[in-house]
Amino acid sequence: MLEITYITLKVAIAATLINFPFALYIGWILGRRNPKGRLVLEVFISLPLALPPVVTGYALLIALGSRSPIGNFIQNVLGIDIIFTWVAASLAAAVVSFPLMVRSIIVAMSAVDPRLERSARSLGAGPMKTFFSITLPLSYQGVIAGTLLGFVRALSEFGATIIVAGNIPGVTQTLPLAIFARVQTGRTSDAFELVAVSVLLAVISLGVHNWLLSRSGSKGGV
Amino acid sequence: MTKSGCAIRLGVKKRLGEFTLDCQLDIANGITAIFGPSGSGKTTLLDCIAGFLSPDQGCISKFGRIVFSSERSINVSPNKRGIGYVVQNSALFPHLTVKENINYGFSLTSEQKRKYSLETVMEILDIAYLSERDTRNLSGGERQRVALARSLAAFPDILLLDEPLASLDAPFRGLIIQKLKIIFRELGIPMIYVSHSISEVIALAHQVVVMSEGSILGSGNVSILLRDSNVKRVADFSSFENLLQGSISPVGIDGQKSIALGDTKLILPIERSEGEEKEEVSAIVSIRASDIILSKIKPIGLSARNVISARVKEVHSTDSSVLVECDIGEPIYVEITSLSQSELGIYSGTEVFLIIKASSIMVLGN
Repeated sequence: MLEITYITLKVAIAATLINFPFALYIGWILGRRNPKGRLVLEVFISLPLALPPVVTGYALLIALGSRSPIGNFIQNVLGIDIIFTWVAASLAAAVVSFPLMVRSIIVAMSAVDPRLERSARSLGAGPMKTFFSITLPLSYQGVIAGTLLGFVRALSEFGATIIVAGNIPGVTQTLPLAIFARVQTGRTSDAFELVAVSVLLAVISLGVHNWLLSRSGSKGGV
Repeated sequence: MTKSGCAIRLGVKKRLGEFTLDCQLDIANGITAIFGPSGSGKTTLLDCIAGFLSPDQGCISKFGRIVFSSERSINVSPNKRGIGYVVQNSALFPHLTVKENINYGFSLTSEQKRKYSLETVMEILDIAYLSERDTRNLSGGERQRVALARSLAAFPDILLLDEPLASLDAPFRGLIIQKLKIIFRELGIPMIYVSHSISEVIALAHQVVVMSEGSILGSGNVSILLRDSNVKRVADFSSFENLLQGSISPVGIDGQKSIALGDTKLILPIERSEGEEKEEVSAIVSIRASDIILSKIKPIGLSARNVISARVKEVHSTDSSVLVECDIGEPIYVEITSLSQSELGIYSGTEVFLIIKASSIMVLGN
């Protein structure tokens, strides 16, 4: 059980870390700028939210498979076999949880008064300095909340993971996959233990998430 | 860099939906007001100068250095233009204290480029006592002073002010006008000041640029606001107030308080809470043009405390009434109807008496 929890946390934390810089960047683009092709970008990043995770997983399998350019590159140039490893599980969890993370970040960043960023610019701050000294500090609660939401989603990822990473005990078997395997083989009491761990992890993450949101609400942002 | 000649020289075109900004303009050193009704493109023009909007075509230079040119593909980013920008709502950083706000631009400026000390700025704006405060608990006037200090602490070559008084109560407006004058006098930073209040423009600016519907109607000395018929079309003279700077003397033995404006003394209303000040203080007073009565003969037996002799300098007719510009050491404007003007026979050079009730004089912050 400890090993399963460890793999689950490892996969979810890695997924969150992979997502974070991209989510921050896309969140900033969509929350602060008004780029051309905004609708296309929004639909694209939200797609994993609307698709069955199995479909996302299948798409990922094809993308990472040896017959795709990306898969080919990873396999032959980098010499890594990614499919059916915990890294593949992380990638699957990352793709599926990305929309949740980025959506919260967009909301948080679009709430920052653009006049504050303009003031920072006219005081001599470049775009990066403005982002890190004004935009991020004023939206960090939403950013952290979004990150936690993505983390929670990554913890519970099942459909895409089982396709690209399989259900290998001790390697890619996360909590949901292990529960599935135990229920399938009729080991319901074993499954119950894991369900309890799942619930505990989810409750802790969501508790922190909601606490952060209520704090940012009471402070009133700008 | 030389501070002589044109602070800003520009010729720009910018389309924003239905609206088109099309301006050719030289802005001299000094305090320049950009005056015009809402929607005339004043803020759009400031945004182009500051670098937050790129004109579709044209050129903008600051003290001879090009900061934007569509032809030469130059577009200096806002943080490298050396142009400060203070907006109506102050836009103070809510997660930083007053001191941290002021320090923001200061810390981004290299030591050689710091032309004056942070203390000088705090002193001019009289905000040292706010230093450790949270920006959320400041009054409107305090916020605007902190915003000014923050901009000045970044050592701008030019300061843009977008209606900095618009959201302030009357007493604070006077205070900020005074501070802006002091900033120009002490630090010599040219300012471009956007306003739709003709009273403010006359009280503060050295020159004025009048805008309407995206183009420039006229520019020059502030008196064009009253003389140029094109300009008068867009100006709203109703509720015109004289904003005059003078020094208030403490309440005397006779129980009277007065303000000296040039060589004229006006008796002020006494507020109940007063009587503490021992020294003369500089202040701005507001007298509405419509609250002053004109008389050709010296009136007697009046309750009004102030009867001042003056000479009519010029008579300006606006669409609704007549503004009589009188000289009492500095110009003061009196609003009368065109009927009174013709019946009394008031023309340039006429000797008149101005009758002002003490209670019509409002002291704006000191």
